[in-house]
Parts: sequence; structure tokens; C-alpha cells
Amino acid sequence: MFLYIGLHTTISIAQSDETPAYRYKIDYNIPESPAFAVLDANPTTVLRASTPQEVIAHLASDFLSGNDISPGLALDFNPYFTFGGRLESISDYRKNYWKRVLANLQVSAATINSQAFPDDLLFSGGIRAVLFDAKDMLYDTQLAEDIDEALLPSEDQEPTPFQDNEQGTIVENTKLVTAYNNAKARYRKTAGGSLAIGYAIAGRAKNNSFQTDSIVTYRHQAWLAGQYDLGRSQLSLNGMLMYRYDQIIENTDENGWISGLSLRRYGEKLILSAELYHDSISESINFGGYAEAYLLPNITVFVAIKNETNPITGAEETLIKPGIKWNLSQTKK
Amino acid sequence: MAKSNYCLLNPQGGAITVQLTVNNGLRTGAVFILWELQNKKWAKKEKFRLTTGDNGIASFTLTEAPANIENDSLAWSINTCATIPSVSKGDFTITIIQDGIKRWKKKASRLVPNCSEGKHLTFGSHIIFKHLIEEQFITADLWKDTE
Repeated sequence: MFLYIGLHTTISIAQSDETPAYRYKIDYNIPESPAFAVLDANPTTVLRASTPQEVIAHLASDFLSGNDISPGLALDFNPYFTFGGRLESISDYRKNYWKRVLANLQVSAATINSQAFPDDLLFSGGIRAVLFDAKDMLYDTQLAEDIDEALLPSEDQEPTPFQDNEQGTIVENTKLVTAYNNAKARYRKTAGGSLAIGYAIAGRAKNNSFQTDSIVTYRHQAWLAGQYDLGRSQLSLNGMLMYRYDQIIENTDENGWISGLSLRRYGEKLILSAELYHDSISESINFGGYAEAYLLPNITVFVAIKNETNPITGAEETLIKPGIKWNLSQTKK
Repeated sequence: MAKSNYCLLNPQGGAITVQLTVNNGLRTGAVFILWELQNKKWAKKEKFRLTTGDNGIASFTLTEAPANIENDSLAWSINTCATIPSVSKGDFTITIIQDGIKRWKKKASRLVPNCSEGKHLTFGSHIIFKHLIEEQFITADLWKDTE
């Protein structure tokens, strides 16, 4: 059983109700974590190219698997805003290409235990940049207008002569919910493409020791991913070209290309995906299927079926990875 | 009672402009009310609603002349949230401008929820307008009055 637990938003106050905050995001198009990709910890191989929809410093994940991957932890964040970067306005975001790239930069770090190396701890780091995204929601002017309307204070929110609420309070806003639900429906039915690049590196701490002579790098990979959403059919075509350099077994360098295509269908409650990819290192053609269903607001259930070649043994294996994705999103202060 | 901030104005000067700016692509809706104390009760004199929109800036000009707003309170309530997924805070600046001179300015940094969570941050404050004293008394002249 493959259990994936996502913890979001570290800056938080206790959530006072059962508000399903996460459902309002365009959660089905969240790109994969680069650091998980290099550890083969993602349920799919062909990576997405869309703009990250997650919040800053967002993810701590726990993997429990009956297959190759066991408990682990990952953290993805945006370095630009984390380290004090500022943006003037949405207009600035729309006009300035490089600021847009920085605002959507995704830096990722992960660590897992793998059954392939039972005595060692695997760790990784990665970076991902979106070069272009025609469906970036920050270009949705209707959403911007709806948010502005939702934020205008109502009559009962009028300030008193000695108004004093300097620190502020977080309040529910149903108009924002409606605005995002409408945006989500528009997003699903809009055609458009996106392009992203990424790089990740993975290392191994032998015998779980972080002494210098115990740490070895065992994999590098760089990739280019493209995605085109067809619009009304809610189908999305993804392509990926990845260069991978492996040193899984010491003193035996291997490198090659992983290239693949995937077709995804994004429903309101169900994502279906099929992928086919060629791995020139193992000289194999592999395929996989993936289904993800939103059962409860913060909980999704998925199952991935993969047919791939084991990098250690060289044997062809069919892996079934059922799992639960549990998103705990808390309100930021 | 809340502690008040004071903004000194030239009663003979030009109209008062209030400017609200936000950064980091935050979206903001606000209401500003000018209150006057009449017969020991506060009454609304003017009300303005602002949205900072795509450019992160909005302003309005009070119709009431500066000479008539001494001891009046300008109070505001601001609703805001972030639209860029990786943004969780931003800076808010309120500036009171008269004849091109910044008479009062306050900058505050706040953590804000993402709009996609269906939540916003609401906060607010107020200032009291006071007239600048223009007459310059010479100390020697003041002593003369006591002699």
C-alpha cells in the first residue's frame, strides 16, 4: 500500500472548522516534485509542464510502499519569495518574463528509504522552471474581477471611527469560493500549452551516515516537459525528454534518454492517465496507467500500474501502486 | 479606546488624497470612511470604496476641504488575499498626500491567505486629522506679554 500524505502551509493557525481549503485549487494540474522524480517516487514517469499551483514551503510527504519506496519526506518551495523576493503587482508578473519565471520556480528536496538500498538513505534535490504556460490562471481577467468583487467590504464591515484591527483576522469568503469554482471550470475547458525544464540530483548516504566518505551521488537528470490541454474534451497531451546519468552500482556509469508521452483526462472528480515511455539505459519500452479520484475534499485515492525494468536486477516488473493522497491545508495567518 | 494616529494637515492647503498600495500581486478591496464628531455623536461625512486591481494601487481625494476636517477620523477596513500560489505575504502602504507632500504614511507587512483557499485577511485602523499650527511665536514676544 502506497500512502502519500501531503502537508501544506507551514505558517498557520489552527483551522477552526472543516473547511476543505484544498479543493478550491486547480489541484489536478499540480506538477510533480522534481526531487521525487529523480528518486522514481512519483506514481507516473512522464512529468507535467504546468505552472505550480501550490503554496510556498508547502510539502512534507510520507511514503509508505509495498514496492520500492518506503517512508520519506519532501519539501518543495519557491526560493524567490522565501528569500525575500518581491513583486510589484500582477501587471508586473504579466509583463516581466523573468519575474514570472522566478515566481513559479520550484525548488525541491526529498529523502526516502528504498528497498533497493535497504541500509542506505536516499536523498535528492531538484529545481524546476516554467518557461511558458498559456493557461496560467493569473492571466484570467474574469477571475481577477471576481476576486476584486469578492473582496469589497460589505456594509456590515464598515470601519468605526476608532477602528483598531491592525493585525487582522482571517475570514471565510464564499464569493472567493464561487470565483475559483468558476475559474476551475473555465480552466478545464480552455485549450493551451505549457513548457517546463528541470534538473535534479540524487545521492545515497551509506548506512544512513552523513559523513563525507559515506555520501555518494548516484543519479543526475535533466528534462524538458511539454503539455497541451485540448480544452473542451478535458484531455491533455504531455511529452517529456529526459537525460539521466546513473551510477546506481558503483563504478558502472550509465547514461541515456527517457522519452515519453502521456494522455490525461481531467474530470471534476476523476483523473485518468496513460503513459508510454522509452528508456535507453535499460533499452526498454515501458507503459503505465494512473487513476486518481477525489472522494472527500482533502482526500484523493489513486492507483498507478507501471510496467518497467528494474534498474538493479534488469528484470521486467509490473508494479501496482494504490495509494491515498491526503492534503492537509491549514489557514495562513 | 484604541490608540489614535494623527495626521497634520495644512488647513489652507489643497485637497487631501489617500493612496493605498500593495505588492506581491495581492488583491485588495477596501472601504474608507471619514467620520466627524457632531453633537457628541460620530457621523459619516464621506465614504470611498477601493480596489487595488492588477497594478496594486488605488487612490481617492476627499471632497471635504482640509479646513473642515480637523479632529475628524479617517477609518478603513481592508480585505486582501494572494493570487500567486507561492506568495504568502505582502506589504501595504497607506499614504495621505496634500499638495504633493506626504503628510502621513504607514507601511505594514502582513501574512495573507491565498484567495484560492476561499479566505481573506481583514484588517483596519484609523487616523485623526489635525491642523498644522502656522503662527511662529517668538519667545521674546511671549515674555513681553508677561511683563
